[in-house]
Amino acid sequence: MRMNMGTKSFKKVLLLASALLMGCAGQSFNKKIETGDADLLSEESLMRYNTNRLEKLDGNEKDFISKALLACHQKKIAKGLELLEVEMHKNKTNPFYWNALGTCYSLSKDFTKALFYYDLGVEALPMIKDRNKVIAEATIANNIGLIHLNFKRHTEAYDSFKRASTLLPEFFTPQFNIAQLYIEFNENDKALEILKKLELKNPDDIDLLYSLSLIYFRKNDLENSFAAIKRVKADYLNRPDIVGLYAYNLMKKNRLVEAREIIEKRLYAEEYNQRNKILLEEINHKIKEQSKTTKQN
Amino acid sequence: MIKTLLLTLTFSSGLYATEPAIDPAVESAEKWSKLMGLVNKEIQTIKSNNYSGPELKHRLFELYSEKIKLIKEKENLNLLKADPKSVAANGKDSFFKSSREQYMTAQKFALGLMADYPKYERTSEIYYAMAINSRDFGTGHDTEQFLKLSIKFSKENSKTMYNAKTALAEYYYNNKKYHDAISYYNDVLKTNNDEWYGKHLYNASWCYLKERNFKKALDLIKESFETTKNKKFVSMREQINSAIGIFFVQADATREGIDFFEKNMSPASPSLLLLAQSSMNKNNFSLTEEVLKAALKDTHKRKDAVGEMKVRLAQLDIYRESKQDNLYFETSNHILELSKKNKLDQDDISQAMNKIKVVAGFMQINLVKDKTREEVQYSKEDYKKIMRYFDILSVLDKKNKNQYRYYQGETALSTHDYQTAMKYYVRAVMNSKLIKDNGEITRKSLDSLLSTIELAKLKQAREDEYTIFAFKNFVIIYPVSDKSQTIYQKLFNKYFELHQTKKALNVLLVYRKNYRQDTVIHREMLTQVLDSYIKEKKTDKLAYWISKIEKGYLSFNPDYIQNSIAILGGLLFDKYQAMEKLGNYKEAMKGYESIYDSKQYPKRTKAEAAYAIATLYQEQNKAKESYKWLKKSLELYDNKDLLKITPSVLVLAKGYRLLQNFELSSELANHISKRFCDVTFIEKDSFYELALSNSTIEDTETVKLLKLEDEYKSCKLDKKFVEKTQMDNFERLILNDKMSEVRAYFQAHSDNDKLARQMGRYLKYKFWQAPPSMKEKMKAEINAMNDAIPGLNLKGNFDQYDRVMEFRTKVQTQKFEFSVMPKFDDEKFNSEMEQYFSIINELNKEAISLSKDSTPQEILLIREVLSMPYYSLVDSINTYVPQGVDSKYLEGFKQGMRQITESLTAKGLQVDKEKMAYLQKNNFFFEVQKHDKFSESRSSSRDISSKKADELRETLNFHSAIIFSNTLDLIRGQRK
Repeated sequence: MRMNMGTKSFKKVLLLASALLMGCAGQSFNKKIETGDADLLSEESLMRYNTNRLEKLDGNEKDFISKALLACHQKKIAKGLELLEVEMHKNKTNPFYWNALGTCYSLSKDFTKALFYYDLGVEALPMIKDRNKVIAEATIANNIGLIHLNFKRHTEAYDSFKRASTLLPEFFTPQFNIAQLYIEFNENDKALEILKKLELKNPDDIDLLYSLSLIYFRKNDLENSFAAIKRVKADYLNRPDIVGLYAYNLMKKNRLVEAREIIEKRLYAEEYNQRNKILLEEINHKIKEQSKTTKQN
Repeated sequence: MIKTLLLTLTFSSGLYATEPAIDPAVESAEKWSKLMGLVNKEIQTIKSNNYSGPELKHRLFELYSEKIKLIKEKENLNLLKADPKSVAANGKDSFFKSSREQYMTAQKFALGLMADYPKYERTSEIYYAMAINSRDFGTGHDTEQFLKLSIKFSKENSKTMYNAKTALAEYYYNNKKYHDAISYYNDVLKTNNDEWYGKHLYNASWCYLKERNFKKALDLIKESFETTKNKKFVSMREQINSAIGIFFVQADATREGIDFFEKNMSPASPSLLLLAQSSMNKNNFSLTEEVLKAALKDTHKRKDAVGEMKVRLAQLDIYRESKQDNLYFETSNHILELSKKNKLDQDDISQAMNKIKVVAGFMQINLVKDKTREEVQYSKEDYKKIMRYFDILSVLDKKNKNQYRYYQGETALSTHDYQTAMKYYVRAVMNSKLIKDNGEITRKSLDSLLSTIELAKLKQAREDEYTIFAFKNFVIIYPVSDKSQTIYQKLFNKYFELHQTKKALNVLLVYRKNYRQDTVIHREMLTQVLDSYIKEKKTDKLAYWISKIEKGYLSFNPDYIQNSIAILGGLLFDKYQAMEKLGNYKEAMKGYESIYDSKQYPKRTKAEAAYAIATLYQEQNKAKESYKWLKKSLELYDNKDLLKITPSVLVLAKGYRLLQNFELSSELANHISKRFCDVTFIEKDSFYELALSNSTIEDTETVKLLKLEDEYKSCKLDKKFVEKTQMDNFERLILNDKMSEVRAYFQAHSDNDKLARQMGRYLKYKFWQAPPSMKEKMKAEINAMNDAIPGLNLKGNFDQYDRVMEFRTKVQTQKFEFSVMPKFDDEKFNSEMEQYFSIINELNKEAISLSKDSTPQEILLIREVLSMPYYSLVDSINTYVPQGVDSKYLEGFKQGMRQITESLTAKGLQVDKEKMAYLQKNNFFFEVQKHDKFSESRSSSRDISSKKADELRETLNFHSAIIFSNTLDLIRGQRK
C-alpha cells in the first residue's frame, strides 16, 4: 500500500515537474495564440490555445474526453488521466478514448506510455465505422507522428502525418505538420505549396505567416518574406523566432533602427537569444557603416 | 483406650442387633416336647405304680391315643420339612411309621383292655375312642364298626351315644351314604343342645338334597340358617350362603330364594349369583335372568361397582352359555362403562377381557366363511360387534391396545374393507409406539399395512401418506431388521418423489447411522439431494453439504466435489450476476462480499466471490480496489483452481494497465508467473510477456528489466519464446531511443543473434542521425563494439563511408586557380580551363562509380558536394582578371566567361536537383538527418561582418519542425 502511495506521489511529482519545465519553456518561447481568429487550427488542436482560451473552454466541454484533453493541455495531467480512468471500461473499444489517453501521456512527455495507448486506439479502430473511424484513425496517426518526431524518427513522423492527411484531407493539422517537416528539411517549395493552400483558410494564422515568411526568406525572396511577416499581428512580433525574422527583413529593407529597436526590446531563451544577438550585431554593424558613409558623404 | 471403647460399642450393638425374636417353630417344638414329656411322664407314673384296673388302663389308652396325636403332629412337620426327592423316593408312609406303631400299640392295648375287662362300664367310650383313632390315624376301615360297637355299649341318651351317632352320621355323609346318614341325623337332630346343631342340620339338608328330597332339604337348610342367628350354635352361615341357592333352585323356589337373599343377605348379589348359577344349571334362563337382575339391583342399590362387575362377569358366562349374543354384547358394553367410571378389581377386569376376547376372536374367525371369494359375504352386525368388542378390549386392556387395533385391522381386511383396515393398522402402530412395543403385533401391523396399501387402490396422495407412515414407522421401530435396509431406501425415494427433501435427507442420516456399510447407496442418495438443492437453488444447504463432503463425508469423488463447488458458485453468483446485468453493481458486490464473509461456503467459492468483486471493481475502473479483492481471492484459491482461471486473470492483469496502473498489472503478472513458475499452462508465456512489457513501458530501465528476466530464469520458459520477448523488449527500448539503455540490454543478451542484427541496424541509424561532428567518434565506438561482438555484423560497414568522406574531402578541397601572368596568356588560360573541366568530369565519374556501392545516406553525402566544383570553378572564373590586356579585351573576356559561369552554375543546380529527385524516388527523404546548422554556427566564432548576406541567412537558420507540429485533438465543427 505504501508502495502505491509512494508511486502515486512520485508520479504526481513527475507530472508537476514536467508542467513546470514546460512553463519555463513557455516563458522563453510561448507559441500559444491568444485568439481563435489568428489560429488556423483552432477547431482541430488545443496545442496553440493559450491559457485564457483553454480556460474559456473549461466548463463548456460536455464530454469527458474533451474535458480530459483540455485538462492535459492545461498541464493538469493528473486530472486529465483521472477523468479518463473512471470511464475506461465503457470506452474500451473507443479509439478516441485511447487517443486522448495517449495524448495526455504524450503531453506529459511519457512517450512510451503514449505510444502504448495510441496503439490500443489503433487496435480499437475496427470497432467503429464510417466517418468516425476515419477521423479516429487520422487523429491517432497524426499524434503518433508527433511522438516519432520527438524521437527524430522523421520518416515515421512523415508517414504518420501523411496517413492522417490522406484520410482527412479537409483537416489542416496534418498538412500543417507535414509542412513543418518539409521546412525542417529545407523542402521549401513543398512546404510552400501546402501552406499557400492553408493560407486561404486562415490568412492570419501566426505560425502560418511565420512559416511562409521563413520559406521566402530561404528562397531569398525578401519581398514576399517581408509581406508575410508583416501580416503577423503586432502582439506576436515579439516572439523570439518571429522577432528575428522580422528584424532581418527590416534590416534588409534598410529599416535598421526599427530592426534594432524591436530586437532589443526583450531577452529570450538562450537558443533564440544567441541568434538574435548575432542579428543585432549585424544590424548595429550596418547602422555603423551607414553612419560612416553619411559622415563621409 | 479408644480400641476398648470401640470394642465395647461393637459388642453393645451386637447385643441389641442379635436379640432373637420368638420363633413359632421353636415355640411349637418346645410345647410339643413339654406335652410329650407330660404324657410320657403320666404313662411312666401309671406304669411305675404297677397300674391295675380298667380305669388306669383306660387312662393309659387315652394317653397312648394322645401320644399318637403328638407323634403324628411331629411326623407331619417332618414331612413338610423333608426334601421332596426323599419323600418321593421313600414314600409318605415312611414318615408315619412311629404314629402307626403307636396307633397299633394303642388299639391293641384297648382291645386287650376290653378283653381283660369285658364288663367294664366305659367300654362304649373305649370303642368310641378307637373309632376316632381309626378315623383319624388308621385306615378308616374299622371306624364304622367301632362306632356301632360304641352305640351298642352306650347307655341310652348318653353323651357317648350322641357322639357316636353324630360321628356315624358324619361318617356316612362323608362316604356319600346319605340314606344311612339321614337315619342317624334324624336321631341327632332330635336334640338341639349341641352347639354343632346348625352343622348337623346343614349336613342333613345336603343328605336330603342328595336323596332328591328337595323340599325337606330346603327346610333343613333354612332351619340351619336360622341357627346362625343364635349364638349358642356354631354358625354355618358361610357354607349355607354358598349352598342354599342350589336348595332353592332344586326345590323350584328360585324366586323365594331371591327373596331370601334379598332379605337375609347384605350384600345379596354374591349369593344371588350362586343362585343364578344354580338356576342356570337347571337350564332355566328366564329365572336365571331374574336372579341376575336381582343381583344387579342389589349392586346398584349399594352402588357397588365391584359387585356389579362380578354380576356382569356372571352374565357374560350365562349369556354365552345361553347363546344370548345380544345380551352378551350389551353386557360387554356395560362392563366398559363400568370400568370407565369405577375402579374395579383387576382380576375381574382380566376375567372380563378374557371372556370378551374369546368371543370376539371366535366371531372374527367365523365372520367370513369363504375368504377366497372375491366379494366376501359376512354379517354386518357381527362385524360391528367384533369391532366394538375390540374397542372395549382396548380400553379394558390398555397395555395391549395395539393388539386389538391390529385385530380390528385384520377384521376389516377380512371383509375387504381395506381403508378401514389401514386406519386400524395405523392406530395399532401408533399405540405400539406409545408403549414402545416392537414385538410381533407391531411388526404384523406394519407388514399388513404395507400389503394392504397395494390392495386399497387409493388416490396417490393418500397412498403416499400411508406408505410414508408405514415406512417411517418401520424404520423408527425397527432401525435394523431384515427389511429395514430396503425400507430406508424406499422411504427416501418416496420423500424425494414428493419433493420432501429435508425428510429424505433425515432418512439418509438414520439409514447411515444404522447401516454404515451401505456407503455407496448413501452417496447416491446424497447425490440426489444435492442435485435437488442445485435444481431448487438452495445454496445454503448445498454449501453445508459440500463443506461436509469436502471433508471426506461419504468418500465422494474429488471431481464430483469440485464440480459441486463450481455449481454452488454458479448458483450463488447467478443472482448477483443478474444484478450486474441490470447495472446494480453496488448490490451485486454486496452479495459477493456476503459470500466472501460467510463461513459456510467452501474456500473456492469465497475465492470466486472475491474474484467477482475484483472484476466488478475493475469494470468500474477502480484498479486499486479491484486489486485489493483480487489479492484476497488469490490467497484463497488453491493452485489447481487458480490455474483454471488464468485466462481471466490475464485479462484482469491487462485491464489494470488499461486503467493506467502498470504497477498492479505487473504485480499480478509477477504473482502468477512466480506462483506457477514450475507449472506449464497456456497463459504462462503471456504473463511473463506482460510483466516484461510493463517494465519496459513503465520504467524503461534496462537494469530493472534484466532483474525481472533473471527472476524467471528457472521457470522453464521456451528458449525461442524468451528470445522473442528479448527482441520485443529490445525494440521497445529502441523505440524509446535511449542509447545507454539499449546498449546495456544488448550487452546482456549479446548471444541473441536477432538482437545483434537489430542492434546493428540501430547503431547505423544512430550513426546517421548523429551530426557530422560526432560521426567519427561514433564510428570509432561502433567499430570497437563490433570487434567485441561480431554478431553486430558491422565489420567493414564504414569502409564505403570512409571512401565517400575521402571523396568529399577531395571535392571540397579541389582548387581551381588560374595562373596569373604579367601578360595574359590566352592559350594557357584555355588549357587550364579544359583541365578543370576535365577534373570536374572525373569527379562526376568517380561519384557515379562510388554511388554504385553506397547507401542512400552515402549517396547523399556524395551528391551534397557534387555541385561544389561547379560553383568553385565559377567563383575562380569570376574572380580571375587577365593582366596586361586593354579594357575592350577585358570586357570581351568577361562576357565570354559569363556564358561559361552561367553554364557551370546551371550544371551545379542540376546536380542538386538530381540529389533531391534521387531521395524522393527512393522514399528516403527523412532518413537522411539534416544536422542542425544553427548549433554548428552557435559554436563558431566567425566574424559575421566578413560573412556574406546569404551566409548570415544560413547562420540564422530559422526553422523548427517539432515546436510547430500540432496534436490533433478536436473534431472539426465540434468546437466554435
